[in-house]
Amino acid sequence: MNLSLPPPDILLGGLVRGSIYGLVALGYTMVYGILGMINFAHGEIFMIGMFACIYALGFFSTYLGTGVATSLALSAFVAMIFSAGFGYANERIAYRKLRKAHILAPLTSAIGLSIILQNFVWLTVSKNNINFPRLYSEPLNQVAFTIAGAHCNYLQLLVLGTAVALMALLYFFILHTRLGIALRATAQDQLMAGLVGISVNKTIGLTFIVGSALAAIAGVMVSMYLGVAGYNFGYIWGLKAFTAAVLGGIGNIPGAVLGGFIIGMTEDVTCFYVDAQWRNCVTFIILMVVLILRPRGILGERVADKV
Amino acid sequence: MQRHLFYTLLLLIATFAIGITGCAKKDNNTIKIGVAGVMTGPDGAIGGAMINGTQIAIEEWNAKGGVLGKKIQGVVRDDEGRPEKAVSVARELIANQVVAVIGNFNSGCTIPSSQIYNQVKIVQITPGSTNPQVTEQGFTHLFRIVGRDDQQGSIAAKFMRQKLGLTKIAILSDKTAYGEGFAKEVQNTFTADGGQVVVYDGVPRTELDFRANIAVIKKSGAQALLWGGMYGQSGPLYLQLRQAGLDIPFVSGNGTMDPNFLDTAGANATNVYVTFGPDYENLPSAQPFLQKYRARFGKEGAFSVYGYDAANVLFEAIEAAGTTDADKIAEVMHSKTFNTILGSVAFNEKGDLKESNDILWTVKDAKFVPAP
Amino acid sequence: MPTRYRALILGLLGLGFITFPFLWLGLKYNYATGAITTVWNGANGIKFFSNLLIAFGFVAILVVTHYTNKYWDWMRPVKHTLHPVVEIMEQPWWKPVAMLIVLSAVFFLSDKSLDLGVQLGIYILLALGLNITVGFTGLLVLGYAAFFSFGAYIFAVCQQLIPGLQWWIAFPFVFVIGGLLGWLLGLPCLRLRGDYLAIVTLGFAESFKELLSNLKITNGDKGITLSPASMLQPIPGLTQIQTAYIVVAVFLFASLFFIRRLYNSPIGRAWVAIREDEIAANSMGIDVVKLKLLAFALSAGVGALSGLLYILYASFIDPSSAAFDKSAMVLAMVVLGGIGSIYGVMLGAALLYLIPEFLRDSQTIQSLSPHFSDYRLLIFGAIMVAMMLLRPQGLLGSHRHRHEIKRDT
Repeated sequence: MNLSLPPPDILLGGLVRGSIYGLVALGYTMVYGILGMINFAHGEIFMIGMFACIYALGFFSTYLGTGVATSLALSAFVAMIFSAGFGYANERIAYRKLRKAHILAPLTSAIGLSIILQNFVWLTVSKNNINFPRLYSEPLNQVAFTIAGAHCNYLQLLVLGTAVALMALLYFFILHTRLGIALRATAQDQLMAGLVGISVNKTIGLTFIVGSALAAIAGVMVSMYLGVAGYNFGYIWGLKAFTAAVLGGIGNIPGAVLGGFIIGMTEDVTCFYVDAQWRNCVTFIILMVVLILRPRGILGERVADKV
Repeated sequence: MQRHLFYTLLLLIATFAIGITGCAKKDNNTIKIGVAGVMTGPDGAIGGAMINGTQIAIEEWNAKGGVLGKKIQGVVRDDEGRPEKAVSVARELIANQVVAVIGNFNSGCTIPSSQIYNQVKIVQITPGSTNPQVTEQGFTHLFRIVGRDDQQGSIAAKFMRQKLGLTKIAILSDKTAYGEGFAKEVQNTFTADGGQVVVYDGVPRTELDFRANIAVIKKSGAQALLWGGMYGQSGPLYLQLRQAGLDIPFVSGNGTMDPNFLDTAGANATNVYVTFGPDYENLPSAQPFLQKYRARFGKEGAFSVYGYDAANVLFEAIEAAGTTDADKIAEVMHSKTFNTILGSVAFNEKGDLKESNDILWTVKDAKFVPAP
Repeated sequence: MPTRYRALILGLLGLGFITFPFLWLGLKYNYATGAITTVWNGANGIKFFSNLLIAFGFVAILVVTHYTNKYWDWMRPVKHTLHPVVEIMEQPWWKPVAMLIVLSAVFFLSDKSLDLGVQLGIYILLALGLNITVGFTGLLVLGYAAFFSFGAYIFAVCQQLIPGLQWWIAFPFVFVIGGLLGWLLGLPCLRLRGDYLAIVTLGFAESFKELLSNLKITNGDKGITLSPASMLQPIPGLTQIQTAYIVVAVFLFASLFFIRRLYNSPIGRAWVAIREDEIAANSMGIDVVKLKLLAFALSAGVGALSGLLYILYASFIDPSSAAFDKSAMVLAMVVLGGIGSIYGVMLGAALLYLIPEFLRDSQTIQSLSPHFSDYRLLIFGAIMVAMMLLRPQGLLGSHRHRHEIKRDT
């Protein structure tokens, strides 16, 4: 075991990973905040975003012949629309009727949905990982600048920037816009929110749409960052993102981001100080310790459970 | 309502029970051969291509009239590359009364499943598992038609130490029986040869972001990276290695030998070395098979030939034994020399190939070519 | 358009839209330049839908038969034939006879059915164990598979240290140590309720899995295989699988007996009281802490026991047995069958285990669509969602439970 400071590229890698976790975690935390349910299908929405983007890239370059940058921007947008569509459909089909049911009912339904979506992509798209087209990801993978021997490429900057900007935007949206206020009111008391003229169904639908669109952006960036996309990515990254949401305090938006950064950094720093194989273990042990000492998470404000 | 539902469900369960037990019909006009391997998941492409090769062999034999005058029925099962699943597949194949089994692909799956087959003494021939431990268990009915990791590992280690003259290397593996076994062999040979392994680490099979590992490797000053694992992870690992500005040689075992790796790594992948069997594409004996395969499934995988060969060897052995009795088949396989498209093949008492024919490959113009 | 069809038409249009690229486009890579293009690939979508039609045809028949009962009672003849069976099930001598039937089935069933029976028995045992926490006490545990693999690993590791260790010597220890682990996990979790408990147990299972895959003693991701001396020794005159079947059946009956007795004892009533209202239960003089810990310990013990049975049968265990998908599967069995109802849980386990197996092996369905077995998990998920929408209290959920779960006002 060495005690020197970790090199800057490890810290950078951890930050980028963390911001992706944070983006996905926002979807979990928003749904939990408003409905009090764990949306296990959210990871699948993230995965659908990846594939939608790759298909859209192909579609635009074939039928519209747009350039690299335009195609990429348009495809990311299309991925957001498709993910939002899937997210909203999930809410309509599997959760709306179960809103007042026991907590286990929507949970089971969400597990069922996540099985459906995973297998749908497995059956119709590919049973193996597919590649993100290099033509579109290569320009972004060029080195932007070098600090202390660590190469920082444009994609990493983009991921970090987008994540921070979107989180700030979302925070502003929730605190200062009318829709955001409606959202918070619905989270506090659905009946009262309905009585003062807020359309509860639309507000909840909006939560799913926003959360899913954020997951789609994260999906696009992950598949560019790793170079591949696969049907089981939703499970792998979703579980970590969910852990991040819980660690930061589920239901709390800055908490999700903080949790994401903590988990991303922990993983990479563990890789430096201990061994790569221990990183998941360390992450989950930190989660357990935090939850046992502080059940509501680091920034969570809600009491442990509604009684 | 309660009652009602109960009746419906009772009926449903009865249907299931009949449906499931109804499938176990005995048929004396076919010989059942179990084919187990990974068809889905991250290793799906390479394992699926192997099973396609096996299927072509089965069809060819059936077109010739089958084995011992009976048609061959391949019972194909997917083990998803998971040892736990492989064990239940083994149970299922035994329950289906297969005569012999071709598979599994991953060493991690073959080791536990071979123990199940060994309990009932079924002949098993693996076309893809290279971990030494597979045949070191002392089973008399288990054969392997590929080289072993210790042979592969020493080829890779000697290449890096002697040919490239490196002194410090980094080793990453995916912690499976295959990946870690291969990595260990390289480590042993390389250090015995006077080299130094500066990083030795394992990553989970689902991990695809290696940037932290690469940063550690970079800091350690390693002159080459050895990857013990499958192509699903090799591609992203190679890409990220180059993105981090490390142009050191990327050396790997036969798990990387799949077109999928080239697709991910890109057109200008260089400085990649892979250990694998002989160059079958230029062997005249392989051409009929390759033509047939490409016409039907497209480009073959690295293990398609092995899948085809394994099936052919097995059927020849059954034919020569004149019976489906497992002990007789095993006896024939131990003693006979078989002609396959990769040359003549004979098994030693452990069930390994008498002579390994592994060589070192490299990547040139987005193609695997034998290293000069 | 008529309003009553509007939702349906809109829904179908929406479905067409959101699945558009995945179903109707094919990807083509150009590896030299790294560019990507798409081609129309209508066949893919048609193949998917035709397979799905066959798949859902099966489910649709079930749903339709369920609803046509209201108008045309075609079930009546079925009920007439089944009536004596139900009558028998209410007789006092039914249980011993059923046990005898199940045990003697070992001589009639094929190896394949016995194999299914053994695995089903292990799953039922797991579901029964989880039902103690989730069903009786109302503690949501999401990491139950950890106890399962814990039980299996204890035996696997001990038989490496003590050569020739036999399972009947090990099983009381496995049960007790498994229970102890549950108790230890329960201690810090007492403050947590509802979802938080679920999350902590999930985190526990994940870190446990990672620990298993990294420790030297558990042989990492490669897993442990039992040495031949410690494997299940066949009873003289029976094959190994028959022995496994009998062992699992005996354990299942014993646990059923004890769990049932426990449920009807003061302890079981106290658990239900805690589930219904913890504060009220506390003020009625129920020792909530002690009883919750007992529930944790017992449930973990049963889980560890089923792990032991699994490794005896499969003679192999690896860390993926503690993965989340297994926990989710067992939880789904409990929820689907009817939370808190012992028969319901058994039914749920039977259905969820047998449906995918049936869909994979049925010759009729295979002949209709050769790639059908690929669709089995898709249908399985759809059944899970549909079940929750139609009957959130589970198939055989108790009346009392239904009110609690639906919580409609």
